[in-house]
Amino acid sequence: MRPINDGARRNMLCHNTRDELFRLLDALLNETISEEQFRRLEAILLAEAEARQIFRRYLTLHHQLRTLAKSWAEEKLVKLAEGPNPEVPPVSPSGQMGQGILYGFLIAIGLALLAGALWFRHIRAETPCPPTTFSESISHAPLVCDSPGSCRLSDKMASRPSEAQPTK
Amino acid sequence: MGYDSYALETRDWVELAAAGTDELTKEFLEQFTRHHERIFGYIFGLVHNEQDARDIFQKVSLLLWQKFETFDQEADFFAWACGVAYNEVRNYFRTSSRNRLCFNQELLDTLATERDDEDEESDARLEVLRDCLAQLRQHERELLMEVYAEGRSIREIAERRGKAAQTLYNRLNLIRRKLFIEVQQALAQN
Repeated sequence: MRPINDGARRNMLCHNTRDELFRLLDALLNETISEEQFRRLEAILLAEAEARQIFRRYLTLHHQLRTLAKSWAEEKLVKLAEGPNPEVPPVSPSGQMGQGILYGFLIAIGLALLAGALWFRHIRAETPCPPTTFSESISHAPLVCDSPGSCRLSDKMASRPSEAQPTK
Repeated sequence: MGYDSYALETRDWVELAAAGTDELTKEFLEQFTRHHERIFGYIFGLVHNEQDARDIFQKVSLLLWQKFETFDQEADFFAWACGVAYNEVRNYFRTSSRNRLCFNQELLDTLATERDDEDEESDARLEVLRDCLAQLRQHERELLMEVYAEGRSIREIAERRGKAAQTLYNRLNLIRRKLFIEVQQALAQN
């Protein structure tokens, strides 16, 4: 008995066939495979040595997952029997990096808001600067309207710029 | 005539070990302990169904013990065991009355003879897989534990969690493929 395709170990499977192969293998392992799918899997395996290699390795993975999962479950039972020891889920390095970036971003936003607030407070303390010309003082002056069509500058702003008191 | 399932459990091997003090028994137990995972993997690769594989494995275990006297101690135990196992697989498919999907003879023969480096690196795969599992997220590990350790079906888990079965099938498939790729990459680097 010889392998059907001795052209064997090169990566010959095209992307689509590879995808299809994994879909069929998952259906096989999940025991949801139909007869039609099973025959398609058989055809791919007969035609491609690389597909048979993937098939063997994927089934090995499936079997080893069961072995490891059962051994974990037993270890967990032993730990439970030994006493309360709350398990802390390990955080993956990528998860830690993601959390670090998030926290850094939030802290940066907080600092930016704080700096903005301090700057605004500082500006408010310094301004407004006393107008240097009358036209400027007009542009800032609030209007007082005694009756419709009869508006005037407020008393404070009606004075000449030289009379205006700088805001403290 | 249907295929007989031999319920040869761990306790039977313990009894065998206790009873057998001669060199032959010791030698057999040593070889069998070293290779039994790979023998099961070989059978599973041919019948692709866990229950069927377990039934066949039980019978093969007994046959190996019964025939061990004829085994050449200088030869490869695993290769010899695979020969015995393959005959049992064929016998199983021939006599089984259950309606099941099985590969045609040509493919079975090919799969049976194409045992190559993968058998040798089986232990390395297990170690790498252990590391990869430790990197999984908590919810991924929980799903694997339910399926692989507790033996729950996806439909059962989906019902209990109030989710669509297809969603969980997809999730399980993704985890499995991710692990497969990671194991391949790790082995390639080594």
